[in-house]
Amino acid sequence: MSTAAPAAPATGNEQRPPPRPGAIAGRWSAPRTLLGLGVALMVVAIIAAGRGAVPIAPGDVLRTLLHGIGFGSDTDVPDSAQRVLWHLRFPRVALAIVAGAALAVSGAALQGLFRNPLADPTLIGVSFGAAAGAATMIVLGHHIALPAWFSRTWLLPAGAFTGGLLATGLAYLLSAVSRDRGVAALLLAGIAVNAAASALLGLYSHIADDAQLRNISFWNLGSLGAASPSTLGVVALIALPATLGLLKIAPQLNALALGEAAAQHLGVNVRRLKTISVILIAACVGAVTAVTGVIVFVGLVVPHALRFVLGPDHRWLMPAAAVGGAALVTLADLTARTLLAPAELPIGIVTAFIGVPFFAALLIHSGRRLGP
Amino acid sequence: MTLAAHAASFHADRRALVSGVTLTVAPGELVALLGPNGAGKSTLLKLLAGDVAPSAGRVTLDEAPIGAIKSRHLARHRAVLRQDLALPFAFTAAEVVHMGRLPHRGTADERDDARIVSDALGLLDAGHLAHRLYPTLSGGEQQRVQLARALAQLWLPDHAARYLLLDEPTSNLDLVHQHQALTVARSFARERGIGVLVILHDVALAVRHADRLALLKGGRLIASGSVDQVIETTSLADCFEMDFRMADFGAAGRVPVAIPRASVTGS
Repeated sequence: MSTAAPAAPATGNEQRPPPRPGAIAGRWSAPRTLLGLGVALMVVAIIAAGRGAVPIAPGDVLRTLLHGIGFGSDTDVPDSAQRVLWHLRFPRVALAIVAGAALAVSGAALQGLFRNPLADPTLIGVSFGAAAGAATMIVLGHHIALPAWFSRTWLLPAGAFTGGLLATGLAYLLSAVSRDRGVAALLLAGIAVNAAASALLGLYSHIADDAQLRNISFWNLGSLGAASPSTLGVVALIALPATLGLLKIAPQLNALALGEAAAQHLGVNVRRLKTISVILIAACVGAVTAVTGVIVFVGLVVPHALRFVLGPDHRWLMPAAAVGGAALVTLADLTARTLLAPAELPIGIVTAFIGVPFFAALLIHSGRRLGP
Repeated sequence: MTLAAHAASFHADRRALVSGVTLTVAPGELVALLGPNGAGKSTLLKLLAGDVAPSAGRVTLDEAPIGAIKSRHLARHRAVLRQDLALPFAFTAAEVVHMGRLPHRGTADERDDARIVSDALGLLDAGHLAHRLYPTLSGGEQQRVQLARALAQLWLPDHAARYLLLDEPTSNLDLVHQHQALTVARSFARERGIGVLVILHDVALAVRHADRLALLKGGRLIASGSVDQVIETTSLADCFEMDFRMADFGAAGRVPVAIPRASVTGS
């Protein structure tokens, strides 16, 4: 979220004198914030695409991109740079954008669903389920006979995606057969499933050899290193429609803040809302995690930070989280692959390092303003 | 056209919380539901709201079984205010009231949302709270905002009858706002033809503002009728196990005053 900082002071100050009707003290204008985040995302994305072993000027990046979508000419950009951009950098930045948007929107939706600003997609089991699925493939994958059409490189993502969906499905079923059947039951079921998935993960770590162990722990810290046009395509195909679906349930999530009974009284079918949200969140987080590994903190910190400045209305919060999350993950990935170049840091370490201080600052700042 | 329970019962863990209650709420009238703690008032309200299905008997809204009505359609015709007022996120008061308009999203009525939100807040003397953050409001202010939310849900006329169910809407309000809230609820009922059922603890408040009283005790309806009919009998005393004396305030009306039995020796 530190990417939003350049745009922040402008939108923040413009609102004070005179207070226009509808302006809320301490809140930023939602359309301007969204615009600011969008600009920040574009800047970060273009810089990110230019940085790396082969440096490419932002102007060249922009020209190549514009030409690719049918505008202008890229004749003065070297062929080698164009190849690097289209085969490596653009897929990687695009994957960062899709991953960040999907994770942040999932986080916002889950916080709305659980009526708790501290909820995180991990809670419905999808992340640890995916981690257990990935570990299964890392440790036991070589025993699996594959059909000729299925490339072995897809084994791990497929296992992770399946693991994430299985864990969430299990948590959901547990909550659905419980007497209460409410959102709280889902939370408890998610905790149970998470515990089981962590135990499985521990078991694999125990029987894994050194190389496998390293793979498991690296995977649990996340990386966009697997980005390619094909992985991007698969992730986008699943995560983008699911993200858009989550944006559509924003008004219902607002009503749910009043409580499950009150939302029901407002015509929201809470059970269906719960089912739809869980499926879409599992699809988002499952698809992203399958390719990138576990990227912590994005789903928690991005919506939370934006809620401080925009207020909790999901109709603005979720689109802003999509853009903000995309910017954060793009920036985090840029940092991860350039900070210790040519070595690459796991992105989860970077998101935590960026996220924690920013989060702490917001917490201290908001403590004064929001009261209880 | 009524919201009605027909010999409705509700059992939980084999205990009857409501037994064989027949009660109707007609458009345009305010019915006050009274009774001691644990009498089943909130359960009866849940039955009438369609939150839970009766274990026996039926609940109907305009002759249709309430369980068979689609939730969005139901939400356009009946609003409910329960006692749980907490909100986990810092919405503004206006945003909370706007949530009452959710069932009308995508209809022609949506155009009037902003005006309805400010009118509803104004009606409850809460216009100045519109841009305050809900969690920073006092309990009474939150209750008025939530009541405005329930009113906003039924604000515009509809071809069908509408019903408002309020579970102790005055529990956090000061004396002035208690009367104001019920005055608003009653004029809402009369002017807009909305049937209102309100659970109250204050008998005097109920007598002053209701058209009809319904007394619940041990899950059973022990009296129901016009205010005058009910207060002329011993029903209130039977219901609350307290004695009541009528205090005559002339133009301000006659109001029953409860007297604890231990202190009325020899009466």
